[in-house]
Amino acid sequence: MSISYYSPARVTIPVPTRDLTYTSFDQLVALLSEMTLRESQDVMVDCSTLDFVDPFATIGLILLSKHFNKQFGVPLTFAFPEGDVRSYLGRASFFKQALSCAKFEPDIPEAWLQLMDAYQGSNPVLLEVTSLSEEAIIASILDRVEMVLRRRLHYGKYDAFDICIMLSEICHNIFDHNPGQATGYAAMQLYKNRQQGERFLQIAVGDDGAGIRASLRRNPHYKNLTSDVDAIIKGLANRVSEYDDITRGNGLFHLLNLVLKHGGSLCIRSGAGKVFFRADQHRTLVWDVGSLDGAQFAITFPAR
Amino acid sequence: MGLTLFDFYGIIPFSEGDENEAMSLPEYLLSHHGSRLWGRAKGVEVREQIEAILSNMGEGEVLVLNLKNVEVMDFSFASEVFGKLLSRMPTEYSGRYVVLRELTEYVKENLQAALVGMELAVLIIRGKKWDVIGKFGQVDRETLQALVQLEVATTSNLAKYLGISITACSNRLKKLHELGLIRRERTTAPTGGEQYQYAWLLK
Repeated sequence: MSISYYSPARVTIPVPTRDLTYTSFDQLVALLSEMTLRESQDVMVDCSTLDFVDPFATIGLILLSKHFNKQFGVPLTFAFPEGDVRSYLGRASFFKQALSCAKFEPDIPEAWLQLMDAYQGSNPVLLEVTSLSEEAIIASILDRVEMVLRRRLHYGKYDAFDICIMLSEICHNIFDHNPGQATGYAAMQLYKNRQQGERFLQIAVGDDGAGIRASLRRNPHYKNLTSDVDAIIKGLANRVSEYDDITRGNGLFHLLNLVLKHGGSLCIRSGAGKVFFRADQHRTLVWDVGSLDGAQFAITFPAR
Repeated sequence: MGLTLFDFYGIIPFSEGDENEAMSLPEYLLSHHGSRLWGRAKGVEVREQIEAILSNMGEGEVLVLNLKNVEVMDFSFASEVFGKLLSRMPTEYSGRYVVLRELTEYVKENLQAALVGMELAVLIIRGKKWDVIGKFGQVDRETLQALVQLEVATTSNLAKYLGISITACSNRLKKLHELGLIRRERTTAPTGGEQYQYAWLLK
């Protein structure tokens, strides 16, 4: 993938894929993590060729903007021309959440943002990107997800509860392991696989906290963990945590069991590691990827 | 108190039809905190209230944690409340006990998974039936059932009843006591020495 230099002041990076999902998002992160910027340069990510963004990548773009801002001291600029993707991201509250850390071309008019805000809650199969700025918000998100699953998607009560448990575990982890130091985001979307026509439900949660490896390394037993992939895999084992306490370190263990019980898949990205579990293939895939703060999760299920 | 047993398995020796006997034990209603119990922070709040009650209870008393109307809890909440509480009972609240009641099948299944992961177990009651969830094997269950039948027993009584050695029986009773499932009291043996006497928690 080539990086174009349109002007000395700006580096433009075209999004490397047409779909930005939990599988392809890392290609964009890799391009940005390889960069070195000269003083007064900024970077524009050209999203004009994009035709699909999943909830994981939607949250990922916000976290990537924050990471970039922290690393280079300048905000990332995204070029989202008018069209379906820009409209979808508007309805998904992406621009509203990203405005504090990114710039957009063309500009996002305030009136348009307000219009998009008015749509909030109207899409039966979408949970807009919601900022987890405080722990108390999680219960209301879980209520909303339960309502969507049960009333609109006709999930059984206990299937909906299982999904809420998974979401709860990941969302609460942000506060348990990064007290007062991280912001998280949650989103959910039902969508159709264009090749096979099957419907999937994806839940995504991401944060800009310390990440799984740094969290585990607070425990002297795991102080020598040097790989993010190893840290993610270790963190999924029962009773592995930053605390030496038998009642800690079981959230991710039970999360994985519930994902497998429901025939879904789980993608965890943290730091420079990524691990993917898929229930129907009984296998685990791991990658070293471009580094990003915090931890990000995508849980995908075949929809009812 | 009538002690009719309807069935060998899972019957609390309360008198027939008198479910209020169980109600006469002090109870803590978890649904005061909502029907959906999420997260460790809420778990800390609930556990601290329960621990305050336990601190004021006397030796031998049983606190019932009533989960009526609780529809779902996540594993972090379960670990914080039940995991921490049960692991602290033998040391910090020695001689006091907790049992759970009115769990839905769904909550029971998830709590079972959480307790197995922490190698803990707890007695649950529903109407007149009892059960133990958590890390609790068939041998443990046989031993507890035998003690429920006898209500009170010394190690040698129970060993004879089960047809096993005193050492094996002593180990089994020690484990049940450490899990907070049976009472233990030091008594004087007929020979003049001291011995432990074990009793079913809900006797």
